[in-house]
Amino acid sequence: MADTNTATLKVEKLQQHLEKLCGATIRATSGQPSFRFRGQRPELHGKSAMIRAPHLRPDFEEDNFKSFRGAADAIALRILHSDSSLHQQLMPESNIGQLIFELLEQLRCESLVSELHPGARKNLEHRFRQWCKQFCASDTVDNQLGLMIFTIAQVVWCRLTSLPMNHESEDLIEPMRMMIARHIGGALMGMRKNTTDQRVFASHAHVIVDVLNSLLPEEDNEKPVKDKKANLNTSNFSLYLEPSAEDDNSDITQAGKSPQIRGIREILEQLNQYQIFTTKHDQVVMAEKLALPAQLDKFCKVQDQLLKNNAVNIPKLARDLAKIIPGKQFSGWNFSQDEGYIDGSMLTTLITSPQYLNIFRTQQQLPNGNCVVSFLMDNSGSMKEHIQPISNLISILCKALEMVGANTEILGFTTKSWQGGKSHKQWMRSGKPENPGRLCETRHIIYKDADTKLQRARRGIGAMLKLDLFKEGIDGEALLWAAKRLKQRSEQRKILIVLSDGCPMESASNQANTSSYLDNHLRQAASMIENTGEIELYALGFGLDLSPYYRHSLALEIPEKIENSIFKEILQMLMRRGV
Amino acid sequence: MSDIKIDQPDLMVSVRDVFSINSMLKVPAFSLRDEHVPEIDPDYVFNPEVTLAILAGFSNNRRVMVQGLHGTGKSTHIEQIAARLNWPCVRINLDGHISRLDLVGKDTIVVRDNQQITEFQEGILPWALRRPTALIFDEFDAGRPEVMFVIQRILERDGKFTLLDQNEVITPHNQFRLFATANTIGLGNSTGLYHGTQMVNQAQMDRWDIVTNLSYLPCEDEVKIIQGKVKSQDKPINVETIRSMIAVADMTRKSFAAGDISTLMSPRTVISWAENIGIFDNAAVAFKLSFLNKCDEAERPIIAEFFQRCFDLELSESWADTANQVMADGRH
Repeated sequence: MADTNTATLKVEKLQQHLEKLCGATIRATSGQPSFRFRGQRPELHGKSAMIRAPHLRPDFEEDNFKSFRGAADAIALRILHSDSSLHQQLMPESNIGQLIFELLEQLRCESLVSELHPGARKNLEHRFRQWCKQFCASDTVDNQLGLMIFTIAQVVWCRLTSLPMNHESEDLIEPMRMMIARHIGGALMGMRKNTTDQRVFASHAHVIVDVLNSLLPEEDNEKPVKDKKANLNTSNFSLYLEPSAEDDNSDITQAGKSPQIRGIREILEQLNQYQIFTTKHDQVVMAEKLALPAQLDKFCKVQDQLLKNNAVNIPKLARDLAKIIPGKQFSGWNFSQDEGYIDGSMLTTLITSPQYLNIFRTQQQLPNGNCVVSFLMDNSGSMKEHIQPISNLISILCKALEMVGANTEILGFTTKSWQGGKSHKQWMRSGKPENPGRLCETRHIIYKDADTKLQRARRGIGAMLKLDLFKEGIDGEALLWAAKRLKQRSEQRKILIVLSDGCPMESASNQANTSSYLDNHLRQAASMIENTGEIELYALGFGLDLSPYYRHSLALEIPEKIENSIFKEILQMLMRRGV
Repeated sequence: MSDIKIDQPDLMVSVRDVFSINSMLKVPAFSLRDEHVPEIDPDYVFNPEVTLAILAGFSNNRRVMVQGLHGTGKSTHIEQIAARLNWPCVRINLDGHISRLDLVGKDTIVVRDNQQITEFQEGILPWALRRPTALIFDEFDAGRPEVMFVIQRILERDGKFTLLDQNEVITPHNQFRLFATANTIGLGNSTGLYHGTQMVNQAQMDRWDIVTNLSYLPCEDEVKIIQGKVKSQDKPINVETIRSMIAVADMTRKSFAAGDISTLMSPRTVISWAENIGIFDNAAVAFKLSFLNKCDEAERPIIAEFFQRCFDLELSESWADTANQVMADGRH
């Protein structure tokens, strides 16, 4: 048992390291800082990058490092040279067609590798040849469809890269090549000439797809690719397409597909069981977009008034926070002081003007901003009545934190509608399948992001007072979302503070699922964040003890007016970290 | 410091001829070269936008600040323009220890007629103010804000300068020019790259008439610069190699922007890499010595990946061998 564990751990580590290196290279080549690997799948701007060509998934068991490099370079080129939305728009309907189209587009991008990157060119070639070798070795080539796909891949690749074909496969594909050559000759020529024009290239690719469709027996074409998986997927070699974004409704980091990697952490597995019926209607939105400008101005005024009228000593709060938030940093000397260290260069002054005694220097300390604090506010209906003091509390804390050099982020979560809205209706229409998972349309609101200074985010923060946004809430998902945002920050210390007055509450999901479905998910999400240790998680419960969910929580009276004492308690909670 | 003999610019030179920039502009210049005029670097490549901004500073008496990442040649840019206009030029490197006395002047002890006496010695600021010089404050954001208020008044075009210690008011020479270079835009060290920079007082920032930004050059310009720098070497480097070198530098810059690595290759690093190739005759060794060893150990494998892409060579820091080993182990 222990052996299997260490082996799994090793593979997992290896995967992490590979993804770090490959990911960094992809980001550097494509200039897209938002690129990530999520469970071995390429992801761009937080969504699946929709790069699904079959040869881009090297296998830990079979392939070497160079194959991973090749796949990484291929992905980078694809991001660089392919317009994803145009590609999706031009995508043919049949499953085999999609596979071929995806492959051809990928090969087009790979042929555009810059001559400044000879190493990348070698990696790409290595990866493709390796893939061909595995294709040859598998029994996929034994059936007509497999052989045809293989032939097209080989022929197009040779044509686009002007590189010789694999020797071992040359004989294998020769008959097939002869058969389809006269059908696709023109298209091949057109593709080669138009590698830089995605649209024209796609029109030629469509010709090839059509030829393939017409040559295939009817029933082959009807079968969905996923069924094909069964007969195409032998000895670790598979041709199936990854599911596209719509099918992919899991919002939580998936463990890799390799069975060894799957299910290492129990929590992760539990989290993975959490289902979402559809993410189609979900929304992440900047708070300013949710209210009219005139409304925002009004809210700003109210906020300013609130801030003015409170009895909190913000500078003192900042000083207290400075003791908790990473310390100050030495940033040079203050000269001409009347006490401190003697400043050598001023010694002559002591003789020339003996009355002038400011010859000392002291160390100058500046607050170190290596910390980010994110506030995640529950925007459920019951928070409505307390929002003024709570928003005031948040803005005071933000102000004080900014004074000690920390960055702050204010987020909120709610749902777009009551009773599940469109998602619920969609579920009803599709015949109420059992255990649908989360059923509503979530709305995640960004009131202030960490890069915006408080002064610039006033309008966004004002929007906290817009009461008609407050509906229901899915805490677990919001927590993971906030944590994900924090993880992308470069600051050393990351603090997430949840402010809530109740447990997750969403009537549609609660009715359609087992009891405490959402509660459990919140518990799992919180414990995952706490166990990962990268982020410090705290919760402030207003009129409610949140300790069943969070390790560090604080129950507060619902405040009528914000006073110094409330911060004392919050500071104490923050100080207890690591306990 | 020796005095400057020339007084007023006596020529008008065409920007198109001197700087090869497509512009009808003519700018004043001196016909005689003073010893304070910097040496001309014939291979220097001018960035049109920045050049025009600096020239506006010279011809229209504007205060110009050039901001940009390190190693992009901000100070050299100003110097090379001054060199071509024969404009005397003084560079001051600011640091956290420069005090008001250093800039304005202080009482010093001198021996005169075998007697020790104290005497006021003028600092660089009054000296430059009285002469037709271009004064360049390098690393303006490293100067401490309270000290930098010394120059607050001369940042204004007709601002006089009062020497409190001497009870004297200095009217600046009408050909006195003031420039500054800085890595940050006066908002402190926000990227974590520039340790020791200060927040600049915004009232002061406001007084700079022109703020121009010098970022990394287009690839072709950078190639030209490197070629110019290495052409005198015994073993010239071919253009393909230079292009590959810049491709590596470009990847490090993008990677830095994405937050994967914390060091990036400035044009200066590329130049020293090229020079080191001349010494060691091996691109990989020179790369290691001029850049890789400056990087965090944990980031070296990533940079080795970039190098592999552009040169198709493995560095010893590369993870390739380890990876294949570990993968082979994993299969057993």
